[in-house]
Amino acid sequence: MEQMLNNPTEDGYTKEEAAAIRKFYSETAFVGDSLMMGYTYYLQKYDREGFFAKTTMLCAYGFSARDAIRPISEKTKHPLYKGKKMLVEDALKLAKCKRVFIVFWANEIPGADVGKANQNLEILVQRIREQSPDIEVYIVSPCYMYLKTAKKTTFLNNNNLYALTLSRRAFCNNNNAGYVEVSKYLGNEKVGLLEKYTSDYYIHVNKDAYDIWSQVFLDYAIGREPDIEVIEK
Amino acid sequence: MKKTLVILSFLLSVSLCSCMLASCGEKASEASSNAVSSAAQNDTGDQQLSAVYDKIVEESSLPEMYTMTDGYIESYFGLTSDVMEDKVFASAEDALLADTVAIVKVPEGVDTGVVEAAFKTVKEQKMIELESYNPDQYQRVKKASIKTIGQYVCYIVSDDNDAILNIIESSIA
Repeated sequence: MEQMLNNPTEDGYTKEEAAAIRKFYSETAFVGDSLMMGYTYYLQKYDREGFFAKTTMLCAYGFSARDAIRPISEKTKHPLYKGKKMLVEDALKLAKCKRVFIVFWANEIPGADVGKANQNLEILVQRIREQSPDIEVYIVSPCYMYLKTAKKTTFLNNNNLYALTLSRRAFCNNNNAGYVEVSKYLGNEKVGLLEKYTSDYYIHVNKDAYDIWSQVFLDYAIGREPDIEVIEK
Repeated sequence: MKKTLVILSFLLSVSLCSCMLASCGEKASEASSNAVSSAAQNDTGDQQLSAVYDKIVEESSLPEMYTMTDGYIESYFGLTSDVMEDKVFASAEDALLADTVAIVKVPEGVDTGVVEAAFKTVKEQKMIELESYNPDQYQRVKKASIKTIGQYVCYIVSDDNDAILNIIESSIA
């Protein structure tokens, strides 16, 4: 397992499972913020010809659902696709994605309460489905904050991230979306993000954490529960 | 006589078939040779900018970098192989650092403006994202160099922009 986590390979899967996973993610887009930017760079380095080689990445630093539902202008934040600034729903349609995994997380909280964060996400998901009626939507809870830093902040803290986790779970139940809770393998609201997974002692994660992201996503594609320890509270 | 004609016809057919096969073989050989030459040229071209990048890494203070796949270059920058005879695209492995080295050799007869425009879009987009999110990296991207040297277009985000551009200019001269 340790070897697999350090470098997810096809060794842990049958030939059929590996083929199914590859196909799954070749038709998938990952949308998100700086955490997803970090995952993009991780995949570029460690998964160049792997399971995610053909996954579409649509992300931007500081990106949130609030940004994603704004009309495009010179000053707005939207992902680049084929060299053009594009609305998420337009990029997904152009890329002919069959499914989208969304990581909108820490940037949802400052200046907005947790409830409002879901309102923006609901608008975005509606627009995505208008453009791509058959697309499958998955919401991801990626990680908690490193505890010592979290204790010093007013809005962005682990209690609010836990509240966001619960509200995202409810959102998915009410909106026919899948929910992928990666955060529970990297920490929890009591202990925060484990030190061995932080890259900046704040909210961003390192390669070891992205190894776990990959393992969770790979197993999710074939309906398998990951063989990874959930961090006890 | 009839027998002679049949034998002559047979020999003529065999002779014609042999000529055709020889011709196909030559064409196949020529095609193969072209493919080898092209591959060699591409390999040589790739090695040229690859070697330039190795020199940059050795002589500048870049952090740990990764190089981008063709798929990601097309998806993010919108650049495809028809405007890139040779290329290297590298970025900081740490997503919180903006360091980037992108060098493209544009084929003769192709407008370098296509690549310049792509780099300008990426630079502007990164500035919008980083201005409030990460002001230090915003300043670094603001000072990024987009420079065209003949058919080469460069996009450099680094604390050593000038030094890196000097390495590129002296290497491709």
